[in-house]
Amino acid sequence: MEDTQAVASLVQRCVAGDASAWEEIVHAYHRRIYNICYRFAGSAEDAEDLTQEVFIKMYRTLNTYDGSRGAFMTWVTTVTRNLLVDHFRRRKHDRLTDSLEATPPGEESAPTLGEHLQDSAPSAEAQVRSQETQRLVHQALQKLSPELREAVILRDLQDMDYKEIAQVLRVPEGTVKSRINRGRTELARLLSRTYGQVT
Amino acid sequence: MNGKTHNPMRCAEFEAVLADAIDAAISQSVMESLRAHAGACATCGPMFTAAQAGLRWLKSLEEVEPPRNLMRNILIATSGAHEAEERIAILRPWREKAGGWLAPVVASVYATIRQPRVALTFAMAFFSISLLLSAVGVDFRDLRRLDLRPSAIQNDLFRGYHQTTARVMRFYDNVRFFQKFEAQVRELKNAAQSEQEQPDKSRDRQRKDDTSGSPDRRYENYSREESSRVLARRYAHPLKEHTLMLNRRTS
Repeated sequence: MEDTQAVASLVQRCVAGDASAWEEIVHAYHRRIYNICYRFAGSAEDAEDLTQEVFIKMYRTLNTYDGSRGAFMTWVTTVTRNLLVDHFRRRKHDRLTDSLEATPPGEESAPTLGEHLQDSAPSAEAQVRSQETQRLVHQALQKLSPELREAVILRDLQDMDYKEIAQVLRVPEGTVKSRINRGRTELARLLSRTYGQVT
Repeated sequence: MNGKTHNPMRCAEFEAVLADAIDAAISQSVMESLRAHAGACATCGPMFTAAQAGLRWLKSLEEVEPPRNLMRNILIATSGAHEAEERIAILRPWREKAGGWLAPVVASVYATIRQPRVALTFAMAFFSISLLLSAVGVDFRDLRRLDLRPSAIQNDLFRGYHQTTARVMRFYDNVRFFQKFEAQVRELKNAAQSEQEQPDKSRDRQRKDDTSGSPDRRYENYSREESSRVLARRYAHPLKEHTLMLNRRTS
């Protein structure tokens, strides 16, 4: 939880032209923003570019931040999410949840995600810990629709509460919960097709 | 409600509390109702299990490490963007102002320069200047020895002015000398000619002055020719006047 007063002071110093304050902000938030971008965009290169874009946009619009309207973290996440939506529209990757029979983009000759998971060892616990499984879960996450993906990323990866997510996504809290439920379920369905178990 | 059970919870209620149930943010009684519904409903039961599994999958994802130079790149990009914005703000009005009238001028000059005859003219001019400079003795390799100090430039200018003035004065002195010499030569030549002509004229005059046959004519000649000739010669040369006097006496 961020210290609201400290963050407000930091933002004020930054708006006044204090370079060290801006450096502090970048240091405090760049990791989190990079992770959101990476999980949403799917690639490290895109995530790096998007993170830079987010900070450039933040730098230009920092004076519009109003502490009374919400936490700085929520504002930062909103800026990030808006850029991610723009990025998604640019790329025209507006795809709905794909089945595991589909091969990953650019890897037509490669085995499908389902085949990949079938080849893996049976122990779910061991797979979860492994890098390969992480990669496959990340790949499955990319197959969710953007609405479900952003909801589960903000809730389950960034640990934001429903109210904040509703503020960022500009939808009611009930819709947020519904999307999170559907996102989790869909992800489990995608992965369980191969494993034959969901637990 | 797909699953027809005797459980008081409906599917819509189940879905509404599912997220909170997974977060363990509901009371024990609600949780029991939910479990009961999940166990009885063919749709909600698997959904509950899948949502829990999905959460586990998602939680298994570890935080990724950002690239090492990401923060540095962000700081460079943001400070660069700031500086670039300032530079653009300064330059834009000038560029916009100049662009309006400069573009057609530049375009016309560029179109002219592109013509082959203009390039040929430039080449010829360059060739001519190079030849002239090399003939004068200018060596571009020695340009580094050129003294460009203000005092040296001033001295060079003074020296050049005085040298030019001296050269002009010398030219006019020479011209004056030659004119004097020429005048002397012309004078001597005239004197020699007049001395040659003098005996012939004396003889003519003696013949004319012989007025034994016609005294009136002698008078006329005297009054008309003699006086004017004397006057003219007096102005012409004193030596000639003297000669004339001698001639008179002899006559």
